[in-house]
Amino acid sequence: MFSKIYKAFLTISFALIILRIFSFQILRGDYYRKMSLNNYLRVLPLSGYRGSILDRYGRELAGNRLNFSIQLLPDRVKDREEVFDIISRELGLSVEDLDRIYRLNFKAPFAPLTLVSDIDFEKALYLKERYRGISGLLISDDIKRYYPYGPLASHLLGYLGEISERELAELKPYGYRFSSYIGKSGAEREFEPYLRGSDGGMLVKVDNQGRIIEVLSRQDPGRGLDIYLTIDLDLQKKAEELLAPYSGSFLAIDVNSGQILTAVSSPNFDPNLFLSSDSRKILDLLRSKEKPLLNRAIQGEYPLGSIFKLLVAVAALESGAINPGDRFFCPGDFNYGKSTYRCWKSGGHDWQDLRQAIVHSCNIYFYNMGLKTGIDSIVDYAEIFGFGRKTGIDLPYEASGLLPSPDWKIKNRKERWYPGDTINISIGQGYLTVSPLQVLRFLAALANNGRLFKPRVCLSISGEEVYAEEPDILPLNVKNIEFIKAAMRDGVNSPTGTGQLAKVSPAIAAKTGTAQAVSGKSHAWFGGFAPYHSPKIAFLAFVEHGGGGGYATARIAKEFLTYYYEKNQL
Amino acid sequence: MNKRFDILILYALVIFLIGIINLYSASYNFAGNYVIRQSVWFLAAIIIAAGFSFIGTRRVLSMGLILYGLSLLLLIIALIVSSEGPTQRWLKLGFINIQPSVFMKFSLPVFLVSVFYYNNFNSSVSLITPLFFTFLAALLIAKGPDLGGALMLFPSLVAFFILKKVKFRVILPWIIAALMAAPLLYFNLKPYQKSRIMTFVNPELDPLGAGYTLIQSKIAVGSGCIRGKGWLKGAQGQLRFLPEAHTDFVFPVFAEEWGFLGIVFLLGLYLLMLRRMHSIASRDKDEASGMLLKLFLVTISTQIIVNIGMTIGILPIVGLPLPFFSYGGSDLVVTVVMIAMFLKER
Repeated sequence: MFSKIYKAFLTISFALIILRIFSFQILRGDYYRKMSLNNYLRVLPLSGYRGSILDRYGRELAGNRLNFSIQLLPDRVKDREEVFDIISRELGLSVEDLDRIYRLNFKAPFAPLTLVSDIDFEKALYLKERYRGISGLLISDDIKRYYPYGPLASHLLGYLGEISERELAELKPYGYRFSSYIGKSGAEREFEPYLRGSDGGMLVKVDNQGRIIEVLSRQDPGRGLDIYLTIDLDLQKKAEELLAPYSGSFLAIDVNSGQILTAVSSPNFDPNLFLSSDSRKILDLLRSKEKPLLNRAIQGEYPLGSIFKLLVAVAALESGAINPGDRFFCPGDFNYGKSTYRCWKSGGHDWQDLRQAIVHSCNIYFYNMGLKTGIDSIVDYAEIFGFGRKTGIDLPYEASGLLPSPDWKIKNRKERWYPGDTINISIGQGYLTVSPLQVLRFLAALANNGRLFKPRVCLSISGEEVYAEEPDILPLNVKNIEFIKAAMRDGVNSPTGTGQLAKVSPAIAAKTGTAQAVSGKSHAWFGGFAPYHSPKIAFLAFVEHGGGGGYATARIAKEFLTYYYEKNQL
Repeated sequence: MNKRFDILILYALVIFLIGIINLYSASYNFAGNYVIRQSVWFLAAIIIAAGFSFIGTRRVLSMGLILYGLSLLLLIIALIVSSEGPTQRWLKLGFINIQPSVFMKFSLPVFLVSVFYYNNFNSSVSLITPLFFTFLAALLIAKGPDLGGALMLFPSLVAFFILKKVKFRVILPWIIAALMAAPLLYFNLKPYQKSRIMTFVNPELDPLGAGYTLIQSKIAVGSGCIRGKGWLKGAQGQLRFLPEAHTDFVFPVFAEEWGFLGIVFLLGLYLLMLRRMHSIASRDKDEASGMLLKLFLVTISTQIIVNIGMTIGILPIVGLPLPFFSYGGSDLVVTVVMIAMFLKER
């Protein structure tokens, strides 16, 4: 009886065991092998190093540096408050801030979360030594983007940010990962494919605590390519300094190549902030009323005012509507239909020829001339100089501005074009809006007698010169251009010129602009080229609500050019 | 056949040696010299077993009450002495720690046979004394808390009833009573014991907590495939994914490194050993001694089955060592003593 039961018990039990093991090891062995591999094999990504961004002489504007940070592994942290207390004690941060950053940066229980970055080296070593026993607390080091000059040229350089879900969906095939950093604006964005280093990785064997037992294979990360910008750091610094008190932009371009030498947008921001673990600083930037992230030089669209008179003059002379000697009388106001249009000088300029009208920026002369030339000619010439469309500069998010025309008005305003509209555009007012870059390019094309370059900021990529497009040769009579240029020179150098505050030696040629803003003080413009006799650079100063173009902006230009002349011994 | 040598010695020795080799691998990354300590325990066990052999089965049987009483006392002392710690399974005696529950595993069968050998269990009420003493011991062990050790008392009780030819209808009222008391018992379990039972039902319930051990154990066994990963090469054991790899979960380490072929070999050895033990117990001229051996046989058999069964998820996880394989001095001593008594009765 006992033996029978015992034998049956033993047989059945052992049979069940062996069957079960057979099913595990033989039938599902591959599955469990894979599970076992998943247990102990980990692929650790190694981020590639971003290429540097340098100025035209190789001075580094954006580079990399070793960064130490405190990270938490949420699911490994046993007592979060204790960890916060430690960090707060050691680094002097408030527990509330840490808690806020924790909640902001939390992604998943298993994903490392950066709590504090940019800890100095010695502190990092000390923390690593002292708190190695605290579960889930990591002192990690990585290579981080660094902008040594802080906010200098920030709009041009751009900033990095964590890849968005949409970008990731698109860029996954190129090796981007969840939490990869990617250029979000400026050169960082435009040249992302070149700057980005190839990611590497390690295949490691880990134990149950996730500690690395053995590195099975390793693919070193690669460095991205270096981008040399056309910018001259010295000029950039000077211009940033000059523009710092204002909201606006300052641009300078090499008229013989289309290379941007200086591109300032003010106020600026520190791109390093976008790499800090505290996203509140980023939010502050995004929410700021001064819009520091807006690159006013290429993204801003503003009314231009009197600088546009130069274009109207080109159209008038080229179309033959006016000869340089034609004169109009300026009594101070101008009646057309039921409306009265005024000159900026209340008493009027008396009789003016075209040269005088440019020097004095006489509105009445341009009303008459604009009506005589006709809107079609004005639009035609504005178009060949690139108004109303993007310049195609190698930077993202460029604005196209607005060049109004009768067709445009019918389509968009459901109204026909009135002579009053022509009168307005003749002095650069009305519907017309421009980006500072468009104006700069126009001035540069005047300076070099009608060669229209596509402006660019990339000089070379890791020593490899980038292809420079040939300029458009505009179908203009050089005599007419030379006439306008001379008038611009007189606008600065004659005692009655509107731009006399910018007078420097050697002589420059420039035009002021005072554009009525939608609200508040007028926008101030001052743009031209230097030196007058053999133009090297075109420049443009723009200050939002800066009042008259002949004041703040003219002074900025003067100081900049003085510095430029000194630097280049002109 | 040579009177001094029995094939049972060979089986037991081979299993122990394989166990040592496996223990070496299972504890390869631990400090603690488990292999040396286990070997020392083995020598000690042989000496103790020789003592029991010298005393003889008859005289051991006459000491049933004393052995039971002593074991009970040890359990109570263990409960009192180490009541401050989280677990009282261990009795710390200076340089060695002994596990009193293991001695009860030996003492209870001796006690049952010696005290109740002549009893006639023809009424339900007559079962009350053996049941009482078994449950008393089981309760004290479970309080340890050592659920596995407590449950290990029941196979010998059941076997004893079968050997005493107790009728099923006599036991039935007790079974019903036990079933009714079961929910009560469940609520008295420690939380970790409950969660072990819950995760036995569904290990995915808590893959990082209570279910973790079972999942890792299954991965260890399954990933062994046919030939295994080789000695010292089992990732689950070596990289410590498998908890308790040198004690309760020593079998998955073996399964991972030696594969299906190794397991067939090992289980074959266990079966041969048990078969030999069964044949010795059956042929014993002394009926009482034979009965005791059969209770030992059932105890060892059940322990092998439950230990392996829990590592592959066909039984809930209860802390139980695998005879000759798991590290643990107390259990090794008791197992060796039991085997020695078989050799004596050959």
